[in-house]
Amino acid sequence: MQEPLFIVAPGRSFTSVIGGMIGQHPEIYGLPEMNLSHIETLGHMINMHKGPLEFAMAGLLRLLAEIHDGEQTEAAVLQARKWIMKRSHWTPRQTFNHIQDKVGDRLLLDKSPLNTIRIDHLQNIARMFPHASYLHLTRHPSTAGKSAMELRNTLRDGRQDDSDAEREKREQAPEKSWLRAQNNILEFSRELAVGQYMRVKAEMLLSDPKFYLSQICEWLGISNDDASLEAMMHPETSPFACIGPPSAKFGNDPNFLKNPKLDFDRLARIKEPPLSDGASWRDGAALSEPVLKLARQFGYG
Amino acid sequence: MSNLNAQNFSFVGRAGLGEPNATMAHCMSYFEGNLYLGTTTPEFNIAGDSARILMHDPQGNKWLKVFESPKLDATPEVLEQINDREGLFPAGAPRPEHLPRETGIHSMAVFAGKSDAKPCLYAATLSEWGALVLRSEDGRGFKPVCEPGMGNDEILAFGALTAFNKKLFIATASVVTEEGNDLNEAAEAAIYVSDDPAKGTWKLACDLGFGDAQNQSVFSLATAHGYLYAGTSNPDRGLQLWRTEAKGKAPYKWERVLVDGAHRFNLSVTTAAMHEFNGSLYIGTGIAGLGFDRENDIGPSAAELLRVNKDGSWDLIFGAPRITPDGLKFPYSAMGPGLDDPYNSIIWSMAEHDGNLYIGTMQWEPFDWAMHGKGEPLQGGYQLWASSDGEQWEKVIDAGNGSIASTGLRALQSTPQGLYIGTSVQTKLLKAQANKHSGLADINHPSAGFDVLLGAN
Repeated sequence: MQEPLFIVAPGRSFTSVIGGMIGQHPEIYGLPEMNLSHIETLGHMINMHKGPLEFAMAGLLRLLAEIHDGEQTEAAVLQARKWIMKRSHWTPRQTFNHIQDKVGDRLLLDKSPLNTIRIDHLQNIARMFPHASYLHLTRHPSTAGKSAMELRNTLRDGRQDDSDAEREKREQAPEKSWLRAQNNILEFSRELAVGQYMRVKAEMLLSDPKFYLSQICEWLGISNDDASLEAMMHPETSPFACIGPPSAKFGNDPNFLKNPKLDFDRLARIKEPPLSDGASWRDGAALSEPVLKLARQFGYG
Repeated sequence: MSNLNAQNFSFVGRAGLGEPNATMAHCMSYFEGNLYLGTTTPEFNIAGDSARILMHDPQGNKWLKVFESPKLDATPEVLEQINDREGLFPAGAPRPEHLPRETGIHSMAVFAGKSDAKPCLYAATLSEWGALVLRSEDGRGFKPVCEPGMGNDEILAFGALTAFNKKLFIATASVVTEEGNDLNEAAEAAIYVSDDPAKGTWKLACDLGFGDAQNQSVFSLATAHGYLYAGTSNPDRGLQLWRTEAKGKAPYKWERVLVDGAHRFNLSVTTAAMHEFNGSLYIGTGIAGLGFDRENDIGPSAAELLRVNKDGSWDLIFGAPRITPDGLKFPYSAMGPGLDDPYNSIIWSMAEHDGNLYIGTMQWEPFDWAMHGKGEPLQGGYQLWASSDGEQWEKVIDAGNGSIASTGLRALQSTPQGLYIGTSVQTKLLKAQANKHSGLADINHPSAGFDVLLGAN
């Protein structure tokens, strides 16, 4: 059985839409965000994700509901939660094995954002799956940062910063998150065998999805025939590409879940601004030197 | 499989052939039955640091110095120029009265121009007074055949001297810094051409930088399947590769073949060595410095090998697999950057010999040990690899052939007598680094200056 494919990227790097597309390949099973790379057991996961952090359980709950009961109702999610409680000693690898048994021989695809927050999360994945594949998506740091700030402002719901220092810290956060995740991924990738890791600019991929997805299929050794590529143009057909039941609503980017259909006009409008334009959410202030260095290395000008 | 192995190579020249400051056997050519070697002394701070051209007589295994740079008055302007760039000759320090006109011979080619009664040997130089092209009819006397720097005295170095389509082409090259070659920087990114270099007539063969201001220099020239190819250095976007049939009048029409470092972007910042083999062009990439281009803050990065075919398509031979506008590129050799060695930062030399393609690397691992080895003995050194089909590679020489200070293989030349290889030996710099950072008093390498080996079976 081929070991899973992991999409790795900082937040706001088009992982939802691209993961949604790849996940619809007939030979792939696109998972919601599993968030299993930072835990030792399912019991550990339950203890970690309580209260405001419970959203991180949504992907696993929805998945278990779907593969056990064929639906993602509140009742099915409740059953999934009970199923987890009974297996609190299970490791992430046992959990993945169970999922693989349920979905058959399709290649599992995970794109959990927690995977890249720390390098040891990635290393945990490598210990679980020594032969896994990693698709590293890059996005321009300015547009990724702008998107992150917009999301953060939405979540703040109009709350004001307490101080200038707090505001400055908040405005620096997108760059720091982008840089930390990229450095984690790059350092981790040096430990991988040739062919396990592939990097692609998300903007380039989305400019001609079938052309570039075909290459990803070729890399993974799966079919890139017309039917497969066409299936990948419809991420909305995933059972997880919608808002879930009240106790497990998300498991992916809420904006994607609300509107998972590809908007080719919007994709065609995705731009790569000059790096010299700086950070729009900081009045065009220059991006930091480490960010600029990596951005140039990824092909942003 | 290569016909040569490490045991087939023996030293024919050691320790800079009498000049320990000559750290680099920079270029080679085979002319009228003898090997010609051009040397570089990267420090150029004393009068003895002169560029030389040395001839090896393989029959008697003797070396003859056929050219040594003349000495010129060390003018205040030249001293300031060196001081500004490298911090040598600070105010108050003793300053030399004379300096060699050339401190490096970067490239050589055999070519017959319109006024040449027979093929002559041409050499491209590094000079603080402006780079020159030298010409020799007999392989003994060498005279300039161009204005210094083609009239621009900011052009300090030429490289990549190449004959094509009855013309001689030369590219403005990198500069030399205290750390070695800066692969990225030139006063102008230009190629000059002449069909009669003996008369000193040269013209621009392309638009400066091929019309792209981000192309900082043209580092490589080579011919393949009816084209002249030129590879650029581009720290912002990565190397570019251009080609022309050189028809009509200069400047010629050029076609861009590779862009954006072959879609690896600036981790493939420059072309380094290029050579035709089995009808395709092989391109080795490189990065300045010790795997890390400090000037442009790029890297660390290891080298790749690319192959360009006559139809303009390209393959990745070893390097980072990637998704590109030209399709999926997966290395034919199944090896990653640097031939799976992160210290192989430049494919520095390339030659076809006896049905095999050979490549020589710059391998900076000894510097890493010197700086971070905490006193442990140094490891690493240049590598020589060979392939009979251009895709499957085997290591012929490892770890500088036992010479720990031999970090680079700068020149390769196929001859009827065998394959000559010329090294870059950094004894002085490694000793200083090892002593400063690791407290290592002795790096256990007896000599300074380049070595030359001949491989034959």
